[in-house]
Amino acid sequence: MAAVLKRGSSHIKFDAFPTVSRPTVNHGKASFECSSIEATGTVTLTGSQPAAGWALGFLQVEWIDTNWLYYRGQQNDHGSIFFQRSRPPARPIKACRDTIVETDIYYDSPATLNATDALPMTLTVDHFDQPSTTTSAVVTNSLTGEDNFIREAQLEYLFCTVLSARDPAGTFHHLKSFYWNVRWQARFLPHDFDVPDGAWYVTPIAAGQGSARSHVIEGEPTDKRFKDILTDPAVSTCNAIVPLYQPPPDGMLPVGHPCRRESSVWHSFDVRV
Amino acid sequence: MAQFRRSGVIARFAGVAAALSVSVASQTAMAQIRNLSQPGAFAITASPSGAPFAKQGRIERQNGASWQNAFNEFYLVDDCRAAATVPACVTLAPGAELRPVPWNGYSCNGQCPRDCKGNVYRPPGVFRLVLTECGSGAMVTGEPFFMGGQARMRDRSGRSLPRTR
Repeated sequence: MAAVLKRGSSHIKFDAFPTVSRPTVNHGKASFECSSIEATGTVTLTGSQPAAGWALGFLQVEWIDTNWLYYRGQQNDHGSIFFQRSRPPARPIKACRDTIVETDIYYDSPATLNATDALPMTLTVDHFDQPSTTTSAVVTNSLTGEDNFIREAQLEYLFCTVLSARDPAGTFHHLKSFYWNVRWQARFLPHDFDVPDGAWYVTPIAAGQGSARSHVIEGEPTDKRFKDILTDPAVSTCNAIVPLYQPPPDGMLPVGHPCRRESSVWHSFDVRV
Repeated sequence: MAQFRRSGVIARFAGVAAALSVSVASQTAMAQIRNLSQPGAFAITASPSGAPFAKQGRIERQNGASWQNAFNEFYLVDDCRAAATVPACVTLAPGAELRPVPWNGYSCNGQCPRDCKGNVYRPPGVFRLVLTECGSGAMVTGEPFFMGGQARMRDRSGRSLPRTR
């Protein structure tokens, strides 16, 4: 009998839980950071050789992304700017496959079985992620020519992580999964508008700031919002689409981009669209 | 401060002297990479004829007898604000030394701040810096160095954020 997955042998053990930090503004950059999420996945293969080619790894998708930034000038007639970075064309897809190497299917390098390994054998793979982002604290309003300062931002990254074995034929066997997310929302105000590289007041919005993780869910994911893209190499990876909403050289969408809206006064933009 | 030159663009950098590793000949010909006391920090010293490099180097991790890519956006800049505008090919002036912003061990924002979804802390392990010469594509490889598993994420002000485990 060739090597097979031992029924009921897969496990996910949680290690570190992600905790979001209060956003910061340093040297003209607003940063949104968190501690890492860490987990360990295992599965046992039984039977006999040939077993080479079996692999165990984690897949990950980001299936919801909230990402908007609101800037305004020191005075009403200095204007305001709204960046909606989680809608097309800045973010052309809703769900993305999350991998370290763009061309990979697994999130990171999988554990693999060799032709010389004796069976039964337990494969073990670690998972680690620590999402973060950063943005300019000051942007020039093209309508007024005045500096606009980051006033409020909301960022929400919602993920599903799947422990999955791949057989020598390349077929994935999704074993277990869990959901998790990190969320930041805060208001910002420089101590001195003339010194934006100096200190800032940062006031997190309690309901918009936090993190969460589900329990482990058995079997193949059935969530139709992302189940079809888990192993689809045609779907863009999350880090690969970053330049679409955070383009060089300064990471800010340029004047005229549909996802950059400007006003010559302090405007209340609708964050839902 | 030494100077990088290309098409009239001049970027400023810093400098020291060096040791070698695998590709001794190519290092001697173009530049030397010296590992500094802080793991992930390097001093790159150009040969007397100067050293033209691709703006991005990479960090490789030792995996048995082979080396695998661990971080491929190692910019030859001593200030992250220059990373977005540094030219594709930069030349380290003869004898000049550059101390790029160090690699902090992360796979995504391992050197300069950027948006990251997938972001892995690569250590513990043995790593090396690899640079590519502009034009010829020749590699300059630094000496292996060890980076430990105590991940500490630092923001650009130097404040450290302890990682829970």
